[in-house]
Formats: sequence, C-alpha cells, structure tokens
Amino acid sequence: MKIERANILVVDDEFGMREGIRRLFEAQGHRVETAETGRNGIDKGTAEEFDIYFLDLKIGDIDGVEVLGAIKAHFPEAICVICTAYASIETAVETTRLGAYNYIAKPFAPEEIQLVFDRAIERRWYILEARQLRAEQERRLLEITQEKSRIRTIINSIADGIVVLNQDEEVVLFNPQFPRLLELDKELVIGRSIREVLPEPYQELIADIFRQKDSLQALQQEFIIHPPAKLVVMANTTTIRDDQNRLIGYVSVLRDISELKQLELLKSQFVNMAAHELKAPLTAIQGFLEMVVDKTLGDEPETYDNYLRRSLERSKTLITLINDLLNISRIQAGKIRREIERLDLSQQAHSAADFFANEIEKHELTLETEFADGLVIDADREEIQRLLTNLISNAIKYNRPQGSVTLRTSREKGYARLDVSDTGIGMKPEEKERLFEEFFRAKNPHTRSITGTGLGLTLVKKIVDSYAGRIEAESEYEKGTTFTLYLPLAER
Amino acid sequence: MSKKILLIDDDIDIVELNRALLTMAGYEVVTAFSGAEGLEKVVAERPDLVILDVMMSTVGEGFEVARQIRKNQEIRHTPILMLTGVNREHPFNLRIGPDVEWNPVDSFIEKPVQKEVLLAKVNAMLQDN
Repeated sequence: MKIERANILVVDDEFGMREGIRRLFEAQGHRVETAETGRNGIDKGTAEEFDIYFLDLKIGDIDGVEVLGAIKAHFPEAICVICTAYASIETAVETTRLGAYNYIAKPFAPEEIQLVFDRAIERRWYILEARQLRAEQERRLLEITQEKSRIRTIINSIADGIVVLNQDEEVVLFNPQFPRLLELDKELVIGRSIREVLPEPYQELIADIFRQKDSLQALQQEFIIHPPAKLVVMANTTTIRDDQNRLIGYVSVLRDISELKQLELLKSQFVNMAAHELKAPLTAIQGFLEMVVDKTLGDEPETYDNYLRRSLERSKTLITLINDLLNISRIQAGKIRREIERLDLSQQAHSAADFFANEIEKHELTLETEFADGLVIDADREEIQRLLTNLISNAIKYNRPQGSVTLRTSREKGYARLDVSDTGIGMKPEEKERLFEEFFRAKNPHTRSITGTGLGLTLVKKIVDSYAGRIEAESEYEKGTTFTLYLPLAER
Repeated sequence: MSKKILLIDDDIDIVELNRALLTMAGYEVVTAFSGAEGLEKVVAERPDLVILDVMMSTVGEGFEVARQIRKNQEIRHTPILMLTGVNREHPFNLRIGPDVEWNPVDSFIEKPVQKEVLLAKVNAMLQDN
C-alpha cells in the first residue's frame, strides 16, 4: 500500500518553497518537478499525470485556482494540495469545490507537509488501485463479450439448425438456421417457451424428451414438416447436465435430410422396378419349363420347341439385365476403373459391326457403312464397345426383314459424330420421349415378341454423359430410328 | 358351346402359356397385349371371363382397365380375374368386389401363377355364372 517513487509537481513562484519541498521529498526517493509560473505549471501539469500536485494559490501571472481548474480538467482524479499564505475558509471551500484534495497554510513545518503528503499519497494509491481494477474488469468484460460473439459466430455459421432450451422448455440460444429449417411462422424469442412456436411433430418430440427426462441421454428422430416428404428433418437432441449430473437443459440439432429421403425413395423405386423386371422373364421361363416337364400339351417333343426357344431367349435377357444392372450401379458408384486410350471411332464402329455380321444376316438385313478418317477420341475401349453394341443390336432387333442398318461417322465442331440408323418399326413421339428412362420399353404390336431389358439405352446415355458427350434420337413410327452420338475429339 | 376367355397381359410369353393351358382345358381363348386393346376386345368378343394382369406398361394399368369395364353398361357384368405380383411389392390395398371402386375385380391370384390354381379358379368362376 505504498507508492515507492511518487511523481510530484510543485507550482510556486517562491524559490524557497520549491526547493524546500524538492529537497524534502527527493531525499525520500520521490521525483519532484517544479514550475515557477502558473502558465509553466499548467503546461507541465497537464503534459503528464503526477501523483501529487502542490499548488500555490498566489502566483505572479495566473491565479492558482485557474491552474487547479486546468489540471483537474485534464486529470479529474489528480490529487492537488493547495499551499497558501492567505488561507481562509472561502479559498478552502472554493478550491475543494474545484476538486482540491487538501490544503495547507503557509508557512508550514516539514512534518506538517509530510503529514499532508502521506495522507495524499495513500489516497492516490487507492485511486490507482481502483483504476487498475476497473481496467482489469473492463478487459475481462471485453473478453467475455468477445468469447460470446465468437461462439455466436461459430453457431451461426453451422448449416444445421441449433436450439438450446432450459429445463422449463424456454429458448436460451438458437441460430438463424433453426427457425428457417422448421419454416416457423412465429418469431422465436429468447426466454419464451419453445412450444408456442413449434409445429406439431416437433412439439411431440419435445414432449417425448420431457417424459424421459431423467434417463434420457440423446434422442434421434425424423419428422416431416411438409408432407409428403417434401421437407424431412432429422433432430438430434441431447440433455445438458451440470457437474452434479442434474438436468439443466437440452440442445437440439436439426438437419435437413429431405434430399437423402428423396434419394432413398428413388432407390427403392429402382429396386422395385428391377425386381419386377427380373421376375417377369423367370415367370415365363418357369411356366414354359413346367409345361415341358409335365408334358401338359402331350408327348410330341416338337410341340415344345417354341417354348424352349422362348425360354432360352428370356434367360439371355435375364443375363443381359443383370449385367446392365451391375454396370449401372458401377457407373453410379463411380467404381469404374477406366483405361483411357486413343481410339479411332470409325475403327471401333467397324469392329462392333463385324461382331454382328451373323446376326445381321440372320435377320435378312443389309449393313451400310460410311466411315470418316481421323476421328480420335480418348475413351475406354470396353465402354465404347458396349455403347456401340447396344445401339447396333437395337437397330437389328427393332428392324424389319429386308431392312438395313447404317453406321456413319463424321466430324462436327470438335466432336466425333456417329449415326446408327435402322429402317425398322420406329417410335411414337410419346415413346421417344421416355426412351432413356430406366426400364422403359416401347409397347406396341411390333415390339411384343422382342426381348429387352429396358436398361440398354439408359446405360448408353450414362456412358455418353460421362464422356461429356451427348446422344439424340430421331424417329418416325413404322419408318425407322436414327441415334446420333457426339463424343469430344481428343486434343492433339 | 365352350366358354370364351380374354387374356390381357403385355408379356407375350405369359399370354402364350395361359392360352395353351386354357385351350387345353377346353376354353376358347382370345388375347390382348395392352389395356386399350383389351377394352376393345371385351366389347367386340364379349368374353365370359377376363383374365387381367395388373402391371402392364405402367404400374396399375390393370386397375384402370377393370374400372373402365365396370363403367361400360354393355360389359360391366363381365367377371374379372386379376393376376397380381404387386401385392407384396406395392402397398396397394387390394379389396375385391364389383362395388369396390378402386379395384373392382371379382377375384385375384398372386403371381407366379401355378397352372392348377389358375385352372381351378377359372373353372369355379365360370361355373358360378
């Protein structure tokens, strides 16, 4: 509780006074500055904050009261001791009113001024101590405020909706995503009961949690805000407990899982369709084989020739279907290991067509080709073959006897173009529209006995898309169809 | 005179199988491969029984055919036997009876259909008439 080295300013026009005070206090280890005029006193006294000011009331140039005023205006907490030979009640009152700490009447003995000094310096110490405490408090307050705003910034930047409730179900904290996610129409207010603003399903969730109050640790629940499945939210709610494990509140984190739900729905639809498509050929095969085994239509083996042929046909479709399904799932999972190489599209088309030579002959078709040179693409050979095979086999399957299949390649604005045309049954506009849909197959009298998986073109499109190419179809019902494929040419 | 049965199914092999089976059993069989063709044939052929597949080019197309048959005064009393594989695959609630609006069929069989079951069912339905 001591100031070891106090800074002291003495403003007095009497040399004796200045030197007397200087000697007294410098001897005690303090620093003493002096000013012999009022003007000089104001300059020095306001340039730095001294611990104690000794001010003479009667200075030559300026009134000591004015000096006091100037210093107090600058440092309101300055400790000023008035020294005056004209001590009177009025001047004492006047200077005290102006903020002087004490006064001492001249002339005074050293022990008199020492006493005044000791008291003043103690006072000064308290002032400095208080000032330091205040500064510390302010710094802490600032820290707390900053900490709070940091947490708030973090919480607000989270994409999930977050709400914190106390044990009376009142809102303690939330981020803007929370009301947005629930599409609340009422405003969420801190300190208000959450039940007032929540939609029904969420209220039930809260009620659920409250019922299990004591045992509950965490709860995960899905609920639909906009039926049917337009907005599905997953809520993860956890209890907050104090260090004695007493329940003090809840924190609930909401996540929008609508997209996930939508995907799940699509996936289960796909699985249903796939199951149906797998079952159809098997049902036919089983039926045919039962007929054969049971000799339902008599003992003549030839009676069953057609049934066996159809069974074979349908089982081939089944294998193709399974392969297509596997390929689609591989493409979708991004699990294809591609071996990209420079391929000549015309050569690829040529070898794919060769593969079908027998098939083309069997269907009494003619093959016409027109291949351009130098159509180099970067692609996986197997995928390009699969794509060509699908298109050519369609052109054969959906053709008519004495028809033709035409393969033509050409260059078009940075793309290698391939046209696969047939002179077959064609498509109605509404059939063409659904061409690339999974499991879609045109159903008309011409397609009745043609087997297929409904996945071939889906697969072709997925492959073409993955090479940043595109596929188009032109068709006229009962006249024929042309598929046009564009694949980006390789950069040289 | 033998009774006439109309088979409506978009799977050519299933149609062929059931055609062979029912022909063997002494019925006259006519066939249709889509809902629209089926409806035309119900009017033109006046069958004693319609055997209808529930799932043709679109899910539930069979339901629509059945409803259309019931709406047409001339043919509305034609008995309908529905073949369905959807009961387990889809959450349709199949109820039976001509007055049931959603799926006004007289009877149904789960696919895959066993030929004895189909024949027994067909025989029973045609005897009732």
